[in-house]
Amino acid sequence: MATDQASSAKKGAYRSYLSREGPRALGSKEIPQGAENCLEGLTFVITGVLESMERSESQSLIERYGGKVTGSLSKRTSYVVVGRDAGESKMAKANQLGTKQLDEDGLLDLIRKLPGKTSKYEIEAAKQSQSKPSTAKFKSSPSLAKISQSKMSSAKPAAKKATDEGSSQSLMWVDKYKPQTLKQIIGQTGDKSNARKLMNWLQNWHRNISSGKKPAFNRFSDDGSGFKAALLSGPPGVGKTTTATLVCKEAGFSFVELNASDTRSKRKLKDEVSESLNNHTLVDFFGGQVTPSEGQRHCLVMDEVDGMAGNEDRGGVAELIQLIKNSKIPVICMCNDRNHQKIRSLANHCFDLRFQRPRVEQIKAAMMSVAFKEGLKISPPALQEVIVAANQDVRQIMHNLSMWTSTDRNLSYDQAKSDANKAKKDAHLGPFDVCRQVFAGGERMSVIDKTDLFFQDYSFGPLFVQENYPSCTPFAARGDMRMQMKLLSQAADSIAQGDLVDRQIRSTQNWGLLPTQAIFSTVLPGEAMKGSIGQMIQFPQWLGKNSTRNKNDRTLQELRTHMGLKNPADKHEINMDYLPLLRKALTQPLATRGAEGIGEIIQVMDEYSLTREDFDSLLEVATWPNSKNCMANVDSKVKAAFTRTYNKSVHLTPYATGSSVAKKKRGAGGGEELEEEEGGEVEEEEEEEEDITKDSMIKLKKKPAAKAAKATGKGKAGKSGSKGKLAKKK
Amino acid sequence: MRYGAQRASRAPSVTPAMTMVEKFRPILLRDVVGNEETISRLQVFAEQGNVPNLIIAGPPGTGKTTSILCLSRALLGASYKDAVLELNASNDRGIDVVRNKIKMFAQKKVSLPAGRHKVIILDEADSMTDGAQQALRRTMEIYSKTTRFALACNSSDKIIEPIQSRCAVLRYSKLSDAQLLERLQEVCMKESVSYTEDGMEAVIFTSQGDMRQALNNLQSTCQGFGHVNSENVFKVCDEPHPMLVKDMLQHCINSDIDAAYKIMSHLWSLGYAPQDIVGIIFRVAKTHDMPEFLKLEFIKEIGFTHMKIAEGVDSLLQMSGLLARLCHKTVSPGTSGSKN
Ligand SMILES: Nc1ncnc2c1ncn2[C@@H]1O[C@H](COP(=O)(O)OP(=O)(O)OP(=O)(O)O)[C@@H](O)[C@H]1O
Ligand SMILES: Nc1ncnc2c1ncn2[C@@H]1O[C@H](COP(=O)(O)OP(=O)(O)OP(=O)(O)O)[C@@H](O)[C@H]1O
Ligand SMILES: [Mg+2]
Repeated sequence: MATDQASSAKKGAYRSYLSREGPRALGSKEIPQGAENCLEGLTFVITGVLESMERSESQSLIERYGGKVTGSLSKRTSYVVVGRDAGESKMAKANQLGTKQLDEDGLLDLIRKLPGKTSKYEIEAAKQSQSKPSTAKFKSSPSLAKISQSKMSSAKPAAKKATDEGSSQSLMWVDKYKPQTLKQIIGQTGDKSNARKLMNWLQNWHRNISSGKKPAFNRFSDDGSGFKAALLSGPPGVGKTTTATLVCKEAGFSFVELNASDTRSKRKLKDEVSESLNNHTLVDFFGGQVTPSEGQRHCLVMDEVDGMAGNEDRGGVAELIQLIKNSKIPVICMCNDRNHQKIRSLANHCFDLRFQRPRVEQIKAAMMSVAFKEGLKISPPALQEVIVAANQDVRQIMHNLSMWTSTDRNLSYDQAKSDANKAKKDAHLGPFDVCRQVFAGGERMSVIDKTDLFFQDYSFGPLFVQENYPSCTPFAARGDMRMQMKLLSQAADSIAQGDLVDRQIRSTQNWGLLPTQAIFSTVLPGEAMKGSIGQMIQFPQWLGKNSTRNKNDRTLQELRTHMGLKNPADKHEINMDYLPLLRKALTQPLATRGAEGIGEIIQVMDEYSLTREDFDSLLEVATWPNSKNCMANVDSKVKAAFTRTYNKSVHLTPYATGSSVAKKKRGAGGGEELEEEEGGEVEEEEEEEEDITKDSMIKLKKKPAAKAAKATGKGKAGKSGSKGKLAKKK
Repeated sequence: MRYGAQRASRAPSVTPAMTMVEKFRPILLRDVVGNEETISRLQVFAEQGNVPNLIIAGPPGTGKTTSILCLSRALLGASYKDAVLELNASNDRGIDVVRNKIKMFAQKKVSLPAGRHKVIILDEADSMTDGAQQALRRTMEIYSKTTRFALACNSSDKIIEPIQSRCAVLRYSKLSDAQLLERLQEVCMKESVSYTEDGMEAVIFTSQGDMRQALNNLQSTCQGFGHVNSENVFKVCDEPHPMLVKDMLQHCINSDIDAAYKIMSHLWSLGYAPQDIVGIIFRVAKTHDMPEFLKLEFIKEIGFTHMKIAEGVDSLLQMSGLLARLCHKTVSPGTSGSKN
């Protein structure tokens, strides 16, 4: 009873949270101009609604002055900023921890009063570059580069190179500040870092392989011993290639690099690589440098293996796996998308090292020192914006920095923020995000913005909206159930209208109607149900259901063709009128009389020219949701006997035998298919293609069809057979 | 899809006289209008050299290709011919071209002053295949000491992430009306075109922030009528006059059905296709200044009507029905029939 009340109180609180109003007096207070970095080192938690600014504004205000905003309270939180309708649990925790509380004005006062300071990053950066002023100068590239380039059919003229190296001004920042030792790689310095693991793996490679160690598939204490190859995967620009080359260098390996700009077809790989690996040209190249004890200290670096998936490199990955299996030297592969189909098969043969994006803090420190060396003035909060905007991609950050500071060596916070906003990747919003935004519908989104959401993906977006609109709690209802119902009905009407428009578009190819569809299927429902989504965005069930429907439809079509001789009904009539009875006729005898019923059933089947496969598919199509499985109480022995008996005798059919609806291994029930994304549709198409190739009609046409025609002695048989073929081939 | 038509207009037409678009393609970076911040940054690089790899993304006709060409010209001057490789969508840019032609060019030796690099311009890079882009990746890095890349595209999401990561991404936005106007007036002066103010406005409305479109429309109107006023422009562009439509909507908001109908029947008598009329009503309504909830109601009705027209019910009566329904939204209950 008590818990009941508590939970209902909680629900009430949640409800009021959901229908919480936005700020009431936006922009009513003057935002003070604080001293630089005055909030550095302070951590804030904001709870409730601040009346004069939106949450994002207050957050950026704090960040501008170097403060940090986190989502949940901890001992390290310096202040809680409390607004209207503050979260109860947060307040309780704040009281418990004794965290200092501020209201909105308190926050503004704090900014006004606190003295500015020099950022610890700047101090750090200055210190660093004083201790070793030489780093600013570009060191001539190690001999490795030469090797990797000697592989490129023609290396650049040496004279040219020398002049280039001399003038570091003509290098891009990413090259100028490229890590020269493993220690300089951001985020790869720890003991457990990928760079270290790769190093150990490489150094122990020869020992492990010659001792015949097998790869251990232990996820945890894995040092990759026994694997002949390593796979570095991760987002672009986080230092994979850099790590690989530096590890090779520091472990004393020379390496050959192949990347996506080299042809890596099956033949090429086989010829070129195995040749260059097995013969000794490389050792010769090194001349005296290589001591005999080191033996074949070579390594193959396959960069950008995901670039191999293209047409031209067909078979490349398979060949690469083969090559790894036979390799006498370590192979280092690199890719971005570890979950790509082809890469996954490769990964089974590799020591799997996944690179994460370095943390913002780590990058910030390193970038401050770059900025210092370049003589830039940039405040840490501004830098933070730049880093986040590039999604922690170190290389992109450097490019952006060099671009944005070209006119003004002094990058202010506001400038950085506006640039960063512009630079945000034209992220193609996924349907999940689209759906979320449709219903969140920020204050300042115009009709045009909302229409743009629709155009992100106009075939999927509407489905997501349709799937998720009922789980929204609209603000406009303010907790009033009647109002909510009304809004729901509005949204539903509009979605239905959107479907009509969609049909019109697709049936008449009138794409000019798309903006209209956008209004009905996205903008209006989003407007009606604007509010918070109570649960996770669901994947549209329609896709799975539709794929099941298509499959059933094809099964029906096949049954119809098979029964065509006896039965002129179309497939809908068959479905509605014949199948329920046939189902009964085909199962009842087995259920009641066991093995004795077999003969009777086979007779029925022959009568309707049904095959054993048809028997199964018929039962599947004729079973409706919630109806009980009528084969359930048939003994499995009887089933087996039935199959045996059926196969023993010859059945004359007026069409070629062999199933054309490829059986899906997994249950075709809706439940499972809902989860897989997009898979439904794609698979359907594949299946359709298979149908044609698997259609035994093509191969068997001569024999059984001819025989059947002769045997039944009716001209009609052949005709209906060919009709069946047409239908199937369609 | 949306850009397809405009792309086509880019190919220089075969008329003996040069099209305005080509004739007035800026030569210097400072002549490129709009996107000032980005352009000024490019100007710095044009003087100092050592440009990073670039991606310029933005809607069509905003000067992306032009800025890259200006930049390379400023950088390389006399050696432009040797040191620039320009490839656009009309060239074959499959994976083989990247592996051979581009790589070869990157390896080619051209002596340039310090801080200057060869430039490979890949226009309309979003039409390159994934494979070709993959093959670019390492090439961009390995030869960065001698060669820089400049890519132009409409939307950067068609460029694979690793390539984006290797570039500084610059974004151009649509040109504002004032920016278009400035340039158009300049062109008119140089070409001594006679124009009226509303003519310019019309050109700007029909081009929707696309300078190429604006110049093309200007030229067509010039050639067709010799004088640029709004009527001529909309005749050339075969579009109902949006100002009329705007007025019509305003009448609907004021619940003045008679005045609104007058405009509609006028448009109708000019012979525009119902689809086009409703299309432009839709477009104008989306940007028309009115309360948000009313806008949604209006757009909804317009959508219904659009649908009916698409189904073939496209009489003037249908259009009148639309107007009546729009007026109905704002008329307060109980207002007597005879207004004013
Ligand atoms: N962790 C890092 N520490 C320092 N510099 C880095 C780091 N990651 C990237 N960089 C900078 O970015 C440049 C490119 O990095 P690298 O070639 O290693 O990226 P990558 O991970 O191989 O990316 P891709 O997947 O696109 O090939 C380096 O030359 C270096 O200047
Ligand atoms: N900002 C501008 N300032 C001046 N003229 C411009 C500008 N933008 C475009 N133009 C004019 O439009 C023509 C086409 O411009 P440009 O080829 O640079 O467009 P684009 O942005 O590359 O378009 P697309 O995306 O179709 O490639 C130029 O010849 C020039 O006459
Ligand atoms: Mg790399």
